[in-house]
Amino acid sequence: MERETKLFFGGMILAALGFFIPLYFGKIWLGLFLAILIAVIFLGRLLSLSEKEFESKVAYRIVYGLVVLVVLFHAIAFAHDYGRKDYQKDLLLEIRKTIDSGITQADVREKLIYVLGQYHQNDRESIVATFRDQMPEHLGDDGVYLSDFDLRKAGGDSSMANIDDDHINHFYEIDAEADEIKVIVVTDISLGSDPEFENYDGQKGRFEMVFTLNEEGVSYEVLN
Amino acid sequence: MIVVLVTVGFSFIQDDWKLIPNEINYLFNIHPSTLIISLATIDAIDVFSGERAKGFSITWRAASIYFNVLIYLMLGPYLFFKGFKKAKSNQDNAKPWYWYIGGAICIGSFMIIPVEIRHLHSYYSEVYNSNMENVDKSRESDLMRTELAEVGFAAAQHEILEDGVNESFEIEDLNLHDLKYDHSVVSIESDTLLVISVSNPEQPDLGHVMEVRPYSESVLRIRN
Repeated sequence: MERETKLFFGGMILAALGFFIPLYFGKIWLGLFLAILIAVIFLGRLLSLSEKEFESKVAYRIVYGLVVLVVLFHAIAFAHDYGRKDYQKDLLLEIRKTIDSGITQADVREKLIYVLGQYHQNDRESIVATFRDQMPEHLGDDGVYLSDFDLRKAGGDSSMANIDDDHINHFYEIDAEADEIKVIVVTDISLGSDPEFENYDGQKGRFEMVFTLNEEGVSYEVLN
Repeated sequence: MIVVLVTVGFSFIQDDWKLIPNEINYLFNIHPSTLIISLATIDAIDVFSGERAKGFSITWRAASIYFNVLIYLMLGPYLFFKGFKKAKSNQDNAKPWYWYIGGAICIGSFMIIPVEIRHLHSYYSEVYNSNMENVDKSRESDLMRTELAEVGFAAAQHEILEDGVNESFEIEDLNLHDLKYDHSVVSIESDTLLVISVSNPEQPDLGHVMEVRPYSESVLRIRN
């Protein structure tokens, strides 16, 4: 077998191993990098083998230059795309977090402000009692707070027919003694700042915020 | 000859001529990292919509990336060199069939040059920059709206706890810290309707106006 044929099959097998083993573990960029690297080494070796076959040095240098150009542009293409590899994901997750946060503010905080208004306007004695009177449908079993989305979905709202889940989980805690209600919100998709944060619902590292309603007003805190 | 063929090939790629099925087309992708970007984008959309990201695994599309490297950087040069050697050993210098195939593949591999130049040109072009400016502007507008809602909720709570607001009410009375934008009271139409606005001196064309109704179930309403 000729040397270039051995070189080709050797390079082909090495490039396959270099590409498919990282790909098996989900590291496709590493796989592509290794495949290109092995291909570049192969091209270099093939060029050195071919040098004696050329009748003129000029022809060899032209071929050498063209190979360098192609390799250079492959390297630029790889580096450029690798630099943008997480752009779409980061952008979409940022948008998702803004949406989740906005929906929660509009859904939960608005209701708590309304209850606060009713409590003060009607000189009620208890915030918790006011909430139970005004918004009983939101207080589900086992501390699950039913959001507007949950209620509309359960009510058979046709505009929700194609949406299975909003991926925002709500819970509540009532402290009757302190006359205080907490609504805890955890998202399934949006990530919080700490990837190790233990979320209220058992998830890890998700965006979480808590709203607190008492007679002093409504406050909220982003926990992760 | 090379210039003509590279130009035709470039046009073939850019104009997306559909002569062969996609599954085979993937094999001849001169710019394999774009395929990884497209796979990552599909994953990002899945994550955004609440589906589980598939990640990178051994599929035909992923495997085609290896074949792109193999065909353009290894097989083409190998066949071309082997044919070149064979032709030299022939007395009549006749080229074997694989010299033509190798040559065609090598010409194809040069297309990475115009394709990547065009890629980089579009990335740094005015149209792209203008799009990115619009994205930034839209993001800024969202942030302004979010901060205005924050001020609106605080104003609603202030109205409730202070039993209405008088004509001298100003946003500064809310004692909100770290506000990034300029907020002002547009009008106090009654003790149950306050109109506030947000503006940004650095971007005078951006701004929002919001109605605040503390005792209504719909506490905030954006006017624009």
